[in-house]
Amino acid sequence: MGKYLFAAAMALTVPAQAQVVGISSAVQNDVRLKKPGALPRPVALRQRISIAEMIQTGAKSQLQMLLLDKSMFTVGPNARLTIDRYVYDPARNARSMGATVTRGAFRFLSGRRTQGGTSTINTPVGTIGVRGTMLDGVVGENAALIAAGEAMTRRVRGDPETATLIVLRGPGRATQGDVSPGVIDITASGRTVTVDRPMQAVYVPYPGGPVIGPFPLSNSGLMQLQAVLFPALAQRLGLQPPVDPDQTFAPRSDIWPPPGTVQEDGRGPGRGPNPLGRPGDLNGDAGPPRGFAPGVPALPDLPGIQPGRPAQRPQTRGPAVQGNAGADSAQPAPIGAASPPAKDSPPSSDFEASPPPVRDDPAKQAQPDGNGQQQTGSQPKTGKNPSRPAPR
Amino acid sequence: MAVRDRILFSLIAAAACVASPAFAQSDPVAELDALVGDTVDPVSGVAAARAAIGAGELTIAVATLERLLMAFPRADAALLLHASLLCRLDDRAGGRAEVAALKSGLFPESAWGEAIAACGAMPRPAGN
Repeated sequence: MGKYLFAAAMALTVPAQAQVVGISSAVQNDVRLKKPGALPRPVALRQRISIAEMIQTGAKSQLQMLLLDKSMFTVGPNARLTIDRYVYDPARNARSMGATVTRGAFRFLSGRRTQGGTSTINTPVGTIGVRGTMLDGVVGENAALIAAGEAMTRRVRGDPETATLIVLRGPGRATQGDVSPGVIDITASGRTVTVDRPMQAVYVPYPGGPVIGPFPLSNSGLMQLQAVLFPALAQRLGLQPPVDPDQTFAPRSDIWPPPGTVQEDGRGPGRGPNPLGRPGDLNGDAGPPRGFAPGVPALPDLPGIQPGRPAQRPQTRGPAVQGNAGADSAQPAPIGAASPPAKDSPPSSDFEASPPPVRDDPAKQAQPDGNGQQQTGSQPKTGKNPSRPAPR
Repeated sequence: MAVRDRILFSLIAAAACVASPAFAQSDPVAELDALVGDTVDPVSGVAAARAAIGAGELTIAVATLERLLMAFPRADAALLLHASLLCRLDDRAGGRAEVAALKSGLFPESAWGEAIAACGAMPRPAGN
């Protein structure tokens, strides 16, 4: 009797513990999957991916993941993606998904039209509510650098580790086929901004910072975004991402100067060639606070993504800014309980610290030559791509 | 086997079916495996994308082409079709930007005409 009860219990509990939500449908270079409490392992094509497993990509690496409802996630180099929640009922044609992207570029594409369910993507600055759509996003340094080239956001200083740029790609109102126009709701800093037109972007420079947009992303910004997301294709087309794609993630200190830094010319903090703007350019913007936006939990698996912060931060939540890079009311606030690592300390990259050392294997350093074949890659570099066009 | 055991076996089987809906329905994971198998080369990948377009599943066609382009970034025909799809999804700026980035204009007239129809008039890439 007892053995039957045990078997019945297992039948009920095992699928919940390892619920497959999708498969890896395309893998380029160094991509790993980290199960909770385990070390990351290389991902193979068609590998099953379950809830709570973190996808990690290395330099010049990329993964496409198909979910059971044929929705798609693509992540570019140096990205971190986890599917936290996923329910798909083919009989009712309903899907509900919750994902978290803490670093890197991503594209989400809704699959078949569903009748119900909610989809959300969490980022370090807030949450994206997805209603049947295709959207691109970038978290981190590339987001800050792309935003630095946009007229609406070029004067806004962004956190190189948490700055987030989100772009609705479609479908728009004039779409064809069996698809509905897409809408995204971006909730950050206590505000929600709805985007319902393709190529409209929203930028949040740091957790608790102003929600800027929606504004039209420029063609050059779009091309940089594509270059970040699709490195092999970008190489083929001669597109340049803001940050050198050979570079494995490491926070840059040169784009996040602490307040009070005086430049050689004697001007105020952050002035000079810093492409990410300077504190104070956005009225009342005294720099980013510590911690994450309300409702966005800190991610213990990624200690390296919490950057060093200046001693002061905005206390009040800024308004959504539409059509004008307006003000975010900022006041000094007490330092949060969580103490982020010092800026000068080396990043605790979960990717680099985790065996097996795939990047040490010369075969794994190979790069696509444009025909799906592999060739020896170049040595990792540091710093941003020198050929990146200067911010306007 | 005792009647009691048979009843227990039946209960266990029922529980397993409830816990794993995939057992009782078509296997969605197997469908995904088949999709991946459609993009082993540019010809089959474009064909699979066109099949999805024919079924009105434009976003699935986009995903198919992006999967293809990850492995075969020189598949310009796939990129041109991808650009056309973006335009059909009302992302005309994105589609036209992809066409502008193309280095080669060596496409079949039908493919170029399809892109023009979706994205509007635009200069054809001049390179070979």
